Amino acid sequence: MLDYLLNGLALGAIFAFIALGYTMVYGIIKLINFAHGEFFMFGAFLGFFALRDLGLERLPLPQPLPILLSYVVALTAASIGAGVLAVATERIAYRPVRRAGRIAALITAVCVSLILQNVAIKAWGAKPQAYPQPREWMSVADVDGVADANLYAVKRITTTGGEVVENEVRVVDAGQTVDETTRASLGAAGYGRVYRQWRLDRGWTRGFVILALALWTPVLWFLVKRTRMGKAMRAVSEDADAAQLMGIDINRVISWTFFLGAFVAGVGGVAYCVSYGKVEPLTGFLPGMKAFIAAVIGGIGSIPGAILGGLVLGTAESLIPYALREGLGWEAAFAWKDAIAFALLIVILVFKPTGILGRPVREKV
Amino acid sequence: MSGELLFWLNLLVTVGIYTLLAVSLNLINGSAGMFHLGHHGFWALGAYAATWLTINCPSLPGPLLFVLSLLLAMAVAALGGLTIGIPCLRLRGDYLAIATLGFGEIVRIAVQNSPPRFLGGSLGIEVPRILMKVTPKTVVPFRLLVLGIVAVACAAAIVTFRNFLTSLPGRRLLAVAQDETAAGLLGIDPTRSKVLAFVMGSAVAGLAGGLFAHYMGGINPLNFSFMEMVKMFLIIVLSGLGSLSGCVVGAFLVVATEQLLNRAPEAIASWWQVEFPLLLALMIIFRPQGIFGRREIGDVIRAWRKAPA
Amino acid sequence: MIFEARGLTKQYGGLTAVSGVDMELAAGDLVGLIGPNGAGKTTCFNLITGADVPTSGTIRFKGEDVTHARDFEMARKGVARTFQNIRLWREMDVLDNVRAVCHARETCGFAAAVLRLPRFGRVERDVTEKATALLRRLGLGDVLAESPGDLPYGDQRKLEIARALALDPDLLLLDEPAAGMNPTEKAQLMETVKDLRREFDLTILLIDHDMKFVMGICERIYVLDHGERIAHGTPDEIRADPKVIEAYLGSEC
Repeated sequence: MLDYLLNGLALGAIFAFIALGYTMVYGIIKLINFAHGEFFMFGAFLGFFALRDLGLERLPLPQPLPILLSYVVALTAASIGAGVLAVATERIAYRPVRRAGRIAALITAVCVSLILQNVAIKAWGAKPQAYPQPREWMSVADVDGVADANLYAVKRITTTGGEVVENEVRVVDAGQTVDETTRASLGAAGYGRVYRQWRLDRGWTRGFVILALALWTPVLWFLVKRTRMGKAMRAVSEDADAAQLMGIDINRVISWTFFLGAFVAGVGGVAYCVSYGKVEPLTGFLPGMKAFIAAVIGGIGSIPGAILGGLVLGTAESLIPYALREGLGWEAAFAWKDAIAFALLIVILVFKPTGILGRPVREKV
Repeated sequence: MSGELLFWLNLLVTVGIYTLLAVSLNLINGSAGMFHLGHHGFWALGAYAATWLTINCPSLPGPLLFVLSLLLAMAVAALGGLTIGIPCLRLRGDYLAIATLGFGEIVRIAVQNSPPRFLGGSLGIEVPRILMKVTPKTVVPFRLLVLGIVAVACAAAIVTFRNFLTSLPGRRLLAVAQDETAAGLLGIDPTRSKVLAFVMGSAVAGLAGGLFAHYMGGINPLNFSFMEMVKMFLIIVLSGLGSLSGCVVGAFLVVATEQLLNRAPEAIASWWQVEFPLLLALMIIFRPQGIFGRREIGDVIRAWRKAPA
Repeated sequence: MIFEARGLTKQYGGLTAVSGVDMELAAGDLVGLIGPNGAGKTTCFNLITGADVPTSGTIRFKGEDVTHARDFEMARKGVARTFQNIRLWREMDVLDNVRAVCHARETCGFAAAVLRLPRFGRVERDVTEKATALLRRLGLGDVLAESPGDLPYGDQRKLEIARALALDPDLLLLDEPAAGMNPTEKAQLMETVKDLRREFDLTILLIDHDMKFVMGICERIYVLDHGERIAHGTPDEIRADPKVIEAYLGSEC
C-alpha cells in the first residue's frame, strides 16, 4: 500500500505543478484557462525534442553529467517554452476578451485549448511517442570486461526512398565479455559509440517529482510574498482597478502570472511524460482537467490551496481504487479512476464551493 | 443521383438531431442563463437508455418499442438532469460550467467502462432495427421516415419551449436568468425554476439521443465526446443565445459546413477541428448575439416585412 | 404589531454590521430608517427580507417567527422591497417585469402553459389585468411595451415599486426610493407613497439619505450608527436629538 501512497503523492505533485498555473491565473483575472493543459503539453513536447534531438547526452563528459545536462536543458526548454506560449496566448486570445464578460472569456479559453490540441496533432501527429529515457553513452574504446547490462548502438541507414533512418541495435548482451576482438568488430561495423539504456526506476521519478515540489514551494512562496512583482500580483488579484490607480501596470502583471504558471506547468509536463514514458498532443487534456479540479478542491485562487488540492487528488486517485479493489474485491476499480476526480469535484462544489482553503465570496445586494 | 439523395437525406436528419440538441441547450444556456457544458452527457444517457430497452425487449412490436424506447430515453435523461441539477444549480457561472462538464465526462467514462455485454463498452453497441429493415433498397424510405419523425420532434420541442417561455413559469425563469437575487426577493424560487428548465432541456436531449441511436444503428462513446458539446455550443452561439427557432438555421449551417468540408480539398478539410473552435471564438468576440440574438425567426420576418423597402 | 425585530445582530467574520437592533412596526405605519453611511441600514433590510440570516436575534412577522426564512419565502409571506441600485429585468418589457411577479404564490401550471389549456388563458388575462392596473396607477400605463432601460430614472424607480406591489405585500421596504429625483419628483413621490399606503393597506419602512424627504413623510424614525440603534422617535424628536446630530456631524470629519 505504501507503494500506492507514494505513487499518489508523486502524481499529486504533478497535479500541484499544473494546478498552480490555473489558480494563479484565476486569482488574477478570474478566468479558468482551459488551455493550461496545452501549455503543459507544449512544454512536454519541447522537452521531448530537447532530449531526443539535441544529443546532449552524447557529450564526452564524465557520467552522469551528460544525462543530467540533457534533462536540465529539457526542463528549462519546457518551462520557458511553455511560459512563452502562455504569454503569447494571453496577448492574442485573452486580452481582447477581457472586457467581454466571463462567459465569453471561458468559451474563448475552451476554443484556444482545442485549437492548440489540433495544431499539435497536425504538427506532430496524433500517435503517442515514446519519451526518451536516459542513456549513458560511452566510446567503444572504453568498454572492457564483463558487460553488466545490454549495450546498444545507433545505426544510420538510407532507405530505398532516400530517407535516412536511425535504427537502434543491441550490440552487446548483459554478461557478455567485451575484449579487443569485440571492440574491433564493433569498430568495423561502424559503431564509434554505444550506450546503456537506463530505465528510470519508479522510485527515481517519484522521488524527483516530490523533491521538485518541495523545492519549488518555498521558491514560489518567496516570489509571491517577498518580491515586488509578487505583491503586485496579489494586489491585482484583490482589486484590479485600485492596483491600476496605484500605478501598477496590470498588463505586465498578468503576463508575468501567465508566464509563471506555465513555467511551473512545463516542469510538470516533463515529469509526467518521463513517469509515463510517452507524450502525445492530447497529453494535456485529462491531467489538465484533473489539475483544475485539484485547484478547485484546494480553493481556486489560493496557491497553498493548489498544492494541497493537487496532493489530495493525486493520493485519492491512487488510494481509492486500491481500497475499492482490496476492500470490496472490485477488480475493475482502477478503470474508473478518472471518474474519481470528477466525483470529488461535484462533492466539493456542493458542500464547499470555495474549496478547502478558499474564502467565501458574498454578493452585495 | 441516388448517392446525392442519400447524402442530403443524411444531412437533413443530422441537422434535425442537432436542432433538438441545440434547442434544448439554448433553453438552458440562453433562456435560463445557466452555463451548462455537459449536454453531451444527457444525449448519451438517452441514446444508451433507448438502446438498452430495444435490445432487451425483442418481443414487443417495432413501433411500440420505438416509442417506448424514446420515452425511456427522455425519462433517464431527465432523471440525470434532476440528479445533477438539484445539487449544482446553486452554483453560478464558471463553477456551474465545470460541474456540468464533469458530469458529462462521468457519463462518458461510465459508458466506456461498462461491461461490453451490457452497454458495449468502448467498442460501442449495435442497435437493432425495429422501425424497418434497412437494406440498400429501403435506405431512402428509412431516412425519409426518420426525417419526418425528427422534424415533428423538433417542431414539438420548439413549440413546447416557446409556450413555456411566454407563460408565467417561463417569465419567472427569464427573471431568474436576468437577476437571480432580485427574483428571489420578489417571491420566485430560483432553484425551482432552474431545475425545471434543466430537466426540460435534458429530457429533449435524451429524446435526441434515442432518435440518434435508432437512426445510426450503432453507437459508441466517441459519438458523445466533448467536441460534440463544443459543436452544440457553436450552434447556439451562432443562432443566438435565447433564440429557439433560430437554432434550426444554426444547426443547418454548422452541420452542412462539417459535412461539406469532408468533400473539400484535403488542405481545408483536415483542419476543421481547428476551424470550428476558431469560428466559435471569433463569433463570441465579434458577434456574441449570433444571427438572431434573442429573437425568433417569426419576429425577424415580421420586422423585415414592416420595414420600408 | 405586524413586524418585530429583537436584538438583531449580524456579524461577518470579524466585522459587526448590525448589533442588538430592536424595531417594531404596527400595521399601517410609515417608518424611516436612517443613519450615516455604513450604519447597517441595508444589512437590516437584507435580514428582514431573508436575503441574509441574522447571527443572533429574532424577527417576527404577522405573529410568525421568520428569523430563518429564505428570501422567496419572505416575499410570499408578504414582504416586498425595492432596491438601492435598480434591479429591473432589462430584457423583459415593463409589463412583463410586473407580470413575472404576479401570482408568485401560485402558477397556471406547467401542463396548462405548454398545451395552452383554457386555464392558461384565464390566468394570463387576470395577471395582465392586474399588472396593467398597477402600472397605470403609478403613471406608467403608456410604456407597457418599452424596455426598462429606456425609461427615465424616475420612472424606473416607479416600476420597481409597481413590481413590489404585484406581490400583494403587507410590508413594503423602500431602499432609497427618492435617489436621483429632482425636488418636484420627490414631492410627487411623497404624495404617492402616502396614497399607496392607504390604497393598498401597506406598512412601509424606508431608507433614504434625503432628510427633508424622510422627515416629511415618516411618522417615526429609527436612527442607526455603526450598527447600533441610537435613537427612535418622531421627526421632531430626532431632529433635536444630540446623539443623532453627533453621529452625522462626526461622520463628516
